[in-house]
Amino acid sequence: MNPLRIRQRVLLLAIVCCGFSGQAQAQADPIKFGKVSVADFTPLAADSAAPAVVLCDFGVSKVVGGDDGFRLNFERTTRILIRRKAGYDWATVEVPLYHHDERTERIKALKGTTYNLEGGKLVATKMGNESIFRDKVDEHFNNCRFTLPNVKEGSIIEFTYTLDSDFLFNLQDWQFQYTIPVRWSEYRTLIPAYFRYKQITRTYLPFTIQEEKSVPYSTRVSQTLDGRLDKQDIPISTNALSSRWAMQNIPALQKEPFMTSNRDYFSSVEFELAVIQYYNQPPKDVANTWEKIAEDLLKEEYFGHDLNRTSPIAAAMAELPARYPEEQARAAAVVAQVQQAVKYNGEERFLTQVSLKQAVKNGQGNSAAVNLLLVQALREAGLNANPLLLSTRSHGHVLLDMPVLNHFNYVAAHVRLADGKDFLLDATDPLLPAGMLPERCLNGQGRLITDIPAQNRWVSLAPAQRHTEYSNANLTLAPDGTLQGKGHWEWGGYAGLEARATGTTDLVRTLRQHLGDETPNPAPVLPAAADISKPLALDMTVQIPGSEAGAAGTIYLAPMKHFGLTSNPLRAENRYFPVDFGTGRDRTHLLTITLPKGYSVAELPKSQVFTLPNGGGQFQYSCLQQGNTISITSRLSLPKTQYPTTEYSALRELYDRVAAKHAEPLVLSKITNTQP
Amino acid sequence: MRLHFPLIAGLLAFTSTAGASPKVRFPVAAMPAALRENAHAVVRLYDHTFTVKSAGQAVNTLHFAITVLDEQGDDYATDIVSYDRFTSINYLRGTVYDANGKLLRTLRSSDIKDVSLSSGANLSDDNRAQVARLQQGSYPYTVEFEEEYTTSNTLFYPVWRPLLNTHLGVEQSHFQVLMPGSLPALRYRELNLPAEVQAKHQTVGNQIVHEWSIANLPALELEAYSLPARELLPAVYTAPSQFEVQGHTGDLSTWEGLGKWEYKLNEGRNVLPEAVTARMKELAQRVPDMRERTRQVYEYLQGSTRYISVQLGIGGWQSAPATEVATRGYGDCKGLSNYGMALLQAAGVPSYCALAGADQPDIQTDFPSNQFNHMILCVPLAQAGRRDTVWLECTSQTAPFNYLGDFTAGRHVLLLTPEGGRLVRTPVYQSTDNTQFRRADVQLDELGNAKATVRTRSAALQQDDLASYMHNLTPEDQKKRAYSQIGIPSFTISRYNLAAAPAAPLPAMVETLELTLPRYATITGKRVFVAPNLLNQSAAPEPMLGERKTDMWQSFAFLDADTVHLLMPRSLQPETMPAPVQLSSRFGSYSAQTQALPDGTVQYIRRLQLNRGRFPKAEYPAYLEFRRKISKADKSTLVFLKTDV
Repeated sequence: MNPLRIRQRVLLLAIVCCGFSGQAQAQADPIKFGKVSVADFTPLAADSAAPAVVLCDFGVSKVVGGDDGFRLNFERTTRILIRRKAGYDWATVEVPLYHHDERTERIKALKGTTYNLEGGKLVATKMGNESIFRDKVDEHFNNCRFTLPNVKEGSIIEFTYTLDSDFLFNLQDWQFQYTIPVRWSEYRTLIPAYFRYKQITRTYLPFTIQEEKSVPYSTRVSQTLDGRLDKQDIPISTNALSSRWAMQNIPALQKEPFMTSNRDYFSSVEFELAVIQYYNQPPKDVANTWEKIAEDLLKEEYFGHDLNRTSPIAAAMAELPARYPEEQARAAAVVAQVQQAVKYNGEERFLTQVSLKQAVKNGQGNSAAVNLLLVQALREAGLNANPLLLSTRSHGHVLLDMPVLNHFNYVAAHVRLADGKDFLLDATDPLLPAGMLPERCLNGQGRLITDIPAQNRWVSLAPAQRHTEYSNANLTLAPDGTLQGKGHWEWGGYAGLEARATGTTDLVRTLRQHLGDETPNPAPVLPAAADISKPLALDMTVQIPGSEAGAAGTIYLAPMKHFGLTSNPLRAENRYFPVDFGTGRDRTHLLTITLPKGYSVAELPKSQVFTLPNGGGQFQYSCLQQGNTISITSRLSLPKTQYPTTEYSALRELYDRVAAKHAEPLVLSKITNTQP
Repeated sequence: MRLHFPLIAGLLAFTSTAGASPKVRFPVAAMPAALRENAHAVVRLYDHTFTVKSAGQAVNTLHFAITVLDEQGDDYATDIVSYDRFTSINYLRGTVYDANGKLLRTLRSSDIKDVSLSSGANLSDDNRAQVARLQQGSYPYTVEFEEEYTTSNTLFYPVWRPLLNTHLGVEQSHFQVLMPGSLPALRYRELNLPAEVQAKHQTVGNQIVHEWSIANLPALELEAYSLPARELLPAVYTAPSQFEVQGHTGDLSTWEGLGKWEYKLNEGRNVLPEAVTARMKELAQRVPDMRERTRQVYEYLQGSTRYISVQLGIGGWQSAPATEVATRGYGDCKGLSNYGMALLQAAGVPSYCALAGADQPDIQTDFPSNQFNHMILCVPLAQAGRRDTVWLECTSQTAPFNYLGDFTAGRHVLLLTPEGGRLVRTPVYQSTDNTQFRRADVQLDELGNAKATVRTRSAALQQDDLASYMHNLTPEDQKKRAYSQIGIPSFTISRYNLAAAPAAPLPAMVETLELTLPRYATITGKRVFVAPNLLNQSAAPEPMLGERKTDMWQSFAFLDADTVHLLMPRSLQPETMPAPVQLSSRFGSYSAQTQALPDGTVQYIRRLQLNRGRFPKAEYPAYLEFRRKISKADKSTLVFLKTDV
């Protein structure tokens, strides 16, 4: 919900009626509540595995006249076939109801019926009031929850309700696809010419019907006219835009690893109120443009209002330019101080909800409070800083040609360095180095919001840093197969962030488990205040027990298993949606092994290079002998943050190769005199 | 049934000892350094006073201060005071101080959020809470909360746990219960208290005051294979003798009394619609065998109802009338168990509802109090003069007849009989019940690629998850789940099937897999390496760091048997076979052997049986050694020589 728009008063001006009146020729509805037939129970082969199937989901939104102007009316009728017990959850429905000040959304005409086939006969059970509950969720939302009675495997449930809304800007979105199959989903809107909404459709699937036409429209509005106390009922006739979208036989959405928000994948249509133009009035552009979004935000109490004021930590900021003449170091110092002043409370928002002064007083705040204070402080430290509006990975993609404020849910800080380069900052995570955004923010582009409209632009959120893992070990082999020596590990970029969040104790525990190291070596102690802008580094003595018991005088050794990747993270053989890693990835492992006296190399794994198409990455492996030492190098580089479905099988195959190569053993044999 | 352990709260008015400098409170420097070890936070002061006003009313007063040392301790800066129809909050105050004890901020009423605690599983309930958050950006900082709430539900008296959790140090904690002299004496049970902690009991006016104090408790860190934290942390359980909920009074001094109260609450709620009664009567006539009849009644219950939870007021303990469940086709654990009991009764089979503590460690059996959160049904049948009790989980539409999964098995439950409550134990599933038998045929080609056919039969507790996948996931999602659980480095599942095994005393699932395994065998030069243990390699145990402090606990008993048949191309000749391994200890037994069969195939047989139990800490090194040997044997490799190169 967009709070900026909520505060806007929709003013209804005097309306003059025109003589023309007519009834829109309605399209036949795809469903009528209560008209369930025995045929509806016939399952389709395509749905055989589904726990439930939406037989029909039908919604109609209309702008209608009412008290003091127009309002929105949304009717929904849904019929679901419950096929298996796992589908019982679909018989419980939740409708969120928004309210703000005196205005509200109300649920009306709620009805529900369950149909069962008993001995070939249709038996209907109506939902009673005892199955309907209303609960308060928070200060702006209530919840209406209901559950259908007498649900069994094979039941058809049906419900219908009307949502009567005072919020014209909140034309109900429609979701066509669910995690169960849908046989028919249809949405219609009827919008009188006074209002124009922008449509945003997202879908990987085609629409069966997508049409719009102009139809006659009439309604009544009751309104107080100038100089009169009582309300007058005014009939209105004009034209309306009638739109219709439908999809047939929509498969269930498949969830896969490495995806962003579900919202990016479900087929849906959304709306944004763009223009209000009452009769004989000039059009009022309420639609957002990127310019207007920036302008509004900068005026907004909980966004731009505080930016040009003195921050509560201004005094400390004033000292920084002298101490840190270099811009990036200064920015890092500002981030550290902001973190001390306001703790991130985990809420992803772009409005602060309290003044920055209050946030500092509270010692905690949402992402907007933390990062707008950061912008304010960066400016006070003499840097060219501005807010960067964005949408997190769990919130979904931003559509660049669709200026819709509520597609955003987060704000970070942008600094324009003296050399003109972008430097992105976020103070919500104490482990995050300056110049990096948290992983949740790696989601396409962010919108820069500045006082100078010409400078507002898109800034790529693609990270400069990758997810980098590095290890280097120097080991000596004993005749019993044991490897002993020293290892050095480094986690850089996003891997560093992850490793620091894991903590040294768990990190060492995992490493030692991988190594199979069971010696009670004391855990290495890391300096507590290690510089987070550097990779996290760790040095440790290691002892890897020999495992592959070979024939007498033979040693089999697969040491890379203990350092590198050993299994494929991309498990499923097929992929419906792109793989979205968020960051590029690099893994490098170097091993040097000194052989025991009297042993020689019988076999070594082959050195090989595997390359992905379209610059997708590479795996290099080499195993070389020099005198009595063997050097093994494994380097995996995946520079892209996103891999399209077409590149999935190559990417999966590459990972397969990595795991297989790391499992390949070296074969060493004891030099005997009898050997030729 | 609601889980309703009230948050541990409340204390005594704080007698201000910091008189010298009233503005500085809880400076971190004043705290013993030892308490910071392994701790994310330290309780500086914790005072909980529980004042019983009458059999039906009590007041919790709490005052506590906690120093948060790092980010992982931040949760302690949130105070959640829950309330419902029976509980009203009198006040909630909060203050936060910096490391030096300087006041940073005092909570305003607008900072306190009122939220619903109703979870997704509940259609509706009245659990709400006031939530205050005082997190700060720089550590350490100290939060101080004062709160008081009055309850008219005296079924629950507080449990005092000075160490609220692991990784938390305690400087001072104090608990006191004020009982009116007119009521029966307070009942309490001490658990894991250090020897120096002595309860004090004294009469002050017409009140009896019970007190416990503890100071300087270091943080506890759970070790590997540890007992659950709840069994290690010190605690004092308290309970009333007389209690009252919404006008329903009861006696909690015995299990009998609690059972009687719950039984009375639901008495007369077993009336069924006539059509249903007739159907049960017809069933009784048609099926003379009581056990079979019970099974058919249970099937009818499962087929015609589903679980929907509604918990309002006394509805948290009183079941919905059977008529309502029959007409609506849904209910919660009480409603459905009571309905099941009514159905069985109509079919001429006596049964009892039973209170259970689901999904939590077993209850303290020697301390009658409400430690339950669930209800199941017990049917005391007999066969050939021997007891043959049937247990029914009525909230599940898919649970096998007479099978309690990990949720309620092996625990004490309270049978609700007309004579009162009776504590009995639900069945314990032994290692030989929880079996997993697997047979795999692996066919290897010259390039090291393999194809495998695997059939696995899992029984009892080992089938719980699989059964839930079969019932709740589509075949495509079942396959995805299998992809995420198989530990082979690279593979593709070419065929997958999950089905229930034919009915047996204990339920079982059969999983059938066909796998393609690219490069399953590793080839280096003329040697080919194959791990015969395809799917059941156990991880190495965590190495021991320092001295073992607590006993170890193996919670899950099972028996796994794997047979793998390996078929190789003729060009491969075995070079080395892993030596057979046989281990036996009080923790369990293990054996693995690989042998070349006359028909040219190689057969690998592995058997692992682990026993459930608590083992003294001195035996930990032996346990580690046992697990380490198993892990090592599981990874052993077969080596073949290529004869065609």
